[in-house]
Amino acid sequence: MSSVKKVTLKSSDGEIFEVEETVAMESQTIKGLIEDDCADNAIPLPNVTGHILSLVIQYCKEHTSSSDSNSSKSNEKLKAWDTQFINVDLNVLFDLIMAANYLNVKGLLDLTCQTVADMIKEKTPEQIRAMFNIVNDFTPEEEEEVRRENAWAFEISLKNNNVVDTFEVEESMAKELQTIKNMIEDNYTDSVIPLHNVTSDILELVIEDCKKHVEAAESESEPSYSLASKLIDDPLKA
Amino acid sequence: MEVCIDFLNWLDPDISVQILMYLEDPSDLVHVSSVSRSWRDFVIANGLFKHLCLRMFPQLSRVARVMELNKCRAKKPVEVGSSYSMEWESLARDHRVYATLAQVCTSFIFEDCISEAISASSTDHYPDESIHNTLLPAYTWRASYWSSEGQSNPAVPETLIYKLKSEFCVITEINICPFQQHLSSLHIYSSNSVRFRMGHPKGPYDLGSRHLGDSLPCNADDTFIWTYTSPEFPMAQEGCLQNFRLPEPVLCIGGILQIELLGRVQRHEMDGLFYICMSYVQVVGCSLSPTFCVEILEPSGTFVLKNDMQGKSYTPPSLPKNEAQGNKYAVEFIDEYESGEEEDEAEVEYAL
Repeated sequence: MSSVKKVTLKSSDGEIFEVEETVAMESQTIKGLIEDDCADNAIPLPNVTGHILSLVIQYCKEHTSSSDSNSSKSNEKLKAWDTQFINVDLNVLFDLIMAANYLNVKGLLDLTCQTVADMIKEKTPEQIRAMFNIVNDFTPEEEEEVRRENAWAFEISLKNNNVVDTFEVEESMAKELQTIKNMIEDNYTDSVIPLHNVTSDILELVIEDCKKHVEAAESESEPSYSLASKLIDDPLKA
Repeated sequence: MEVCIDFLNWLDPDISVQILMYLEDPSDLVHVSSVSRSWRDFVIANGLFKHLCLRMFPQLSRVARVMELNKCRAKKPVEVGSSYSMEWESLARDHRVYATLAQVCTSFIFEDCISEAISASSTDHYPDESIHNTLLPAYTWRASYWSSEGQSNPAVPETLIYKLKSEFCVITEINICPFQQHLSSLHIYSSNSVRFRMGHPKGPYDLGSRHLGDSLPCNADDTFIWTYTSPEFPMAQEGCLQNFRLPEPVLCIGGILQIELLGRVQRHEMDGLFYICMSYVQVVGCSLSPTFCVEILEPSGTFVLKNDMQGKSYTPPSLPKNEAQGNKYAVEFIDEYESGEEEDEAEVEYAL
């Protein structure tokens, strides 16, 4: 029977957790309360729900027991555990951020913030908006201006696909280009259509132009093949 | 379940800043600024591009302010949804300039950055053995080297001072080849160790009035202010091109680089004095001029970072499409300074 000192934590929704003092002290906030002798009864944590608090306690438990040995192996295992641990819903992730901040658990705050940053890395603005459900409140002119200000960042993001630059385009759009349309209709089986005569920048412009034509074609019925073939034939003019 | 997690707007700003500071690639930060008005405002208001650049180059902490030159826009950039004010305009300017700097720093082309030799702390047989010789690739069949004066005390150091291609260069490494007297001899006039400093001239400095490798020792402390000092690197007692890679790329603000040669090793058989002699010196880096230039504000030592908007075109993003673009760079030196071999002229090659 160990006489390990325990503290009682109470979540916002009334759940009670009994935790070893050393584990609870991973939270600087709780540590402060314990040291100020305010921890005799249950410590109320009105900003943290039971679900989130149980996760935070899990994290603290794992990180307290590992802090004794400093071997690199345990660091690796800990990292693997962290990766597994943080694989949660976006909502839960942000709840953890706020809990880690409120409870002042530095390791957990760093881990959760780094995870959000990793989700943002190498994403386009559209993808970021989709991921976090953010409304694009730029006017088209403003958005144009913002993109133009740092056009280099938008070019490079498309080029980062290994050695061969691939652009995923919708088939309806790709068919705007007569050459590609023929390839598709001839059952070109490769998933990637190589375009050896067209450089990445030009291809990008062509794709943008095709996008506009597809959108316009939905209201008009005029085919835009002439423009498309002109673009393919004379890429420098694009 | 679709929930809006526009976290920049409701998380504690300090936490949001912490999240965004984990982004190391400048394009990621650009994408973040393009998500929505509030996201863009957040990036500008918290100077995130400035933080990014400061992490890359701590030397930028001495920037007093930034300036944009040759702005060709007739009207002010669209103020996307934020209230206009002097402070905001200043933050927005910082945002633009540091974003450009971050971009430029992702597409370096490395080359030799020495423009000219300024002076050596001492020179033997001036001008035959002047510092100017260190800028000529050494030929093993023709001795071309700088030599210090002789000293009986081996602890007396020497310094070589060079002017770089521009006042705003990123330097990554320095290559030095000590002089070996005879191909077959073991007389290598290297030093024990080497250290580098970078800085700027104190006040207006007219290089034209100085002879290259002037025999009068240049009182460096009076003429220059050093703002960066590298760690000390041990030097090998070999007459070959030795590479000294700085722990991190360094922004040389002011365009002056000093090589400190510490500890003499080789005595000359004729007079028994210790000498240091170097055949070749090369400073590898990338000049950020003309896109950027600096104005040093004395006596504070801070500087104004100026972005020449028209100079922008010199680093087009669509550079030759090889894998060396972006954050990767490759500089190869083929070292043929092999002692004991009488062969063709030594070659130093750069591969991008």
